[in-house]
Amino acid sequence: MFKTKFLRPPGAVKESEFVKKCIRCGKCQQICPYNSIVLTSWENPFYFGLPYIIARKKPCYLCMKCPPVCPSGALDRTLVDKNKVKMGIARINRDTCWAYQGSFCRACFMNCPIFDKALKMTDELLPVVIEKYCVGCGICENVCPVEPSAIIVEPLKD
Amino acid sequence: MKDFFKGKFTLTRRLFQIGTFLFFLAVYYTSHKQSFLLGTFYSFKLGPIHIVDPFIYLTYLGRNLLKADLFVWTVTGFLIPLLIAFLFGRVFCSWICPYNFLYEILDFLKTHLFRKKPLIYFEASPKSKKVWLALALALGIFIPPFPYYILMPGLLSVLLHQLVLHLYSFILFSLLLILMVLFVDLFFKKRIWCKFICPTGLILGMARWKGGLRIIKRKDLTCKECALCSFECPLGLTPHLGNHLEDCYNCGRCVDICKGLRKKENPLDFKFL
Ligand code: SF4
Ligand code: SF4
Ligand code: SF4
Ligand code: SF4
Repeated sequence: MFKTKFLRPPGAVKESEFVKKCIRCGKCQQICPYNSIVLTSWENPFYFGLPYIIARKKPCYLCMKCPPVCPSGALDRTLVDKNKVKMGIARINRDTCWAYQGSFCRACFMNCPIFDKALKMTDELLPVVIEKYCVGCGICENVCPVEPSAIIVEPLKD
Repeated sequence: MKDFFKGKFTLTRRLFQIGTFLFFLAVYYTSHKQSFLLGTFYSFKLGPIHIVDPFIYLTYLGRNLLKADLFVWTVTGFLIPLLIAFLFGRVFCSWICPYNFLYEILDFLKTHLFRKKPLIYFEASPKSKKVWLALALALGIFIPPFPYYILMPGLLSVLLHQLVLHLYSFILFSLLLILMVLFVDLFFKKRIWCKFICPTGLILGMARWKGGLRIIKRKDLTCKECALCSFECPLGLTPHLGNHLEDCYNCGRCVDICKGLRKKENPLDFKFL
């Protein structure tokens, strides 16, 4: 009934700790220049006030402004390198992805900020996620032309 | 409450309250462009210092115990409200808290529009307040979202920010919580929420030092026992009996009323040290 998987802002500690640590002050939401971060309410009242990202609406553009303003250590405030972020891992649904259906599409590949590392095109045709490099920012999920998105970021588990 | 602005302290206080509101609005409209001033009443960022609500921070420490992030600027910030409360009493409640401001506006309208007696009278002993505070801390430690449901100043300022961002689903949710509390508060004898329930207010009240800023009734000047001050006290206390100290949040309303009565002889006054 309630949403339980949330994509946390970059630098978030693991989920079970994040729930305890974040004091829900909303500073990460305030500083985000893209308004990527929203706060939980009806989606799951138990997580009331916790910040998360709805990648399909607005992904994280990895500007790295939010970790340093966090007062509670819920976001690692020393994190500056966007390549070291790990919010989740993108997964391609090969049954709906246009490239796998035989059309030509490279929307996710072209927009991935960890360019040509997190997403690779095999034979210049089929996108594959390289889990080691994918930071989980959700830009690919956001730009995918298929509805619903054929590439979805799965938030990290504990 | 009959007059909203009349009196020296009341006028200053209203300017403070309106100023706080405008200040937060300014912070929210500029928060994308600067990181010097950020936050809500849960936790406010002033340069490197994160001023944190004592109740929120205590439950945070309890929830994380050994794993708590003892960031030096947050720990400093946690002590600031306690220090202010130690010296000046619960001035946060009367001079800054947006919930108090909202309530005072409604209370003002209520006296002018309805003139009804409260439906339910309720008083709590100091001991039961301590028991409730301990319970609230325990609930906050074991149920992480609990403190955020009952923190009115925090809810209101977050609500304001969501208005700026046009995130209406969150607004509806927290508006419901705030209305519930207001509903309770308006029907009970004055301010059950602020006097007995709000954990932040209770903690600030306990941090108060007896020699700090307080209202006194001077013995050398005669009191007419008109009890106007007690009618006007937003917390429903009885300053004319001189037994109001414990819950009083130093708003100065009673002093203003008393000073307005007679120019020279006014037994009620602020005292510091
Ligand atoms: S890194 Fe930048 S874009 Fe991403 S959530 Fe934080 S502030 Fe927003
Ligand atoms: S800044 Fe940190 S503590 Fe505040 S809401 Fe964001 S993650 Fe939570
Ligand atoms: S694959 Fe998607 S989620 Fe992963 S880094 Fe690239 S754009 Fe971000
Ligand atoms: S006793 Fe006086 S200063 Fe204290 S809360 Fe009542 S009116 Fe305000």
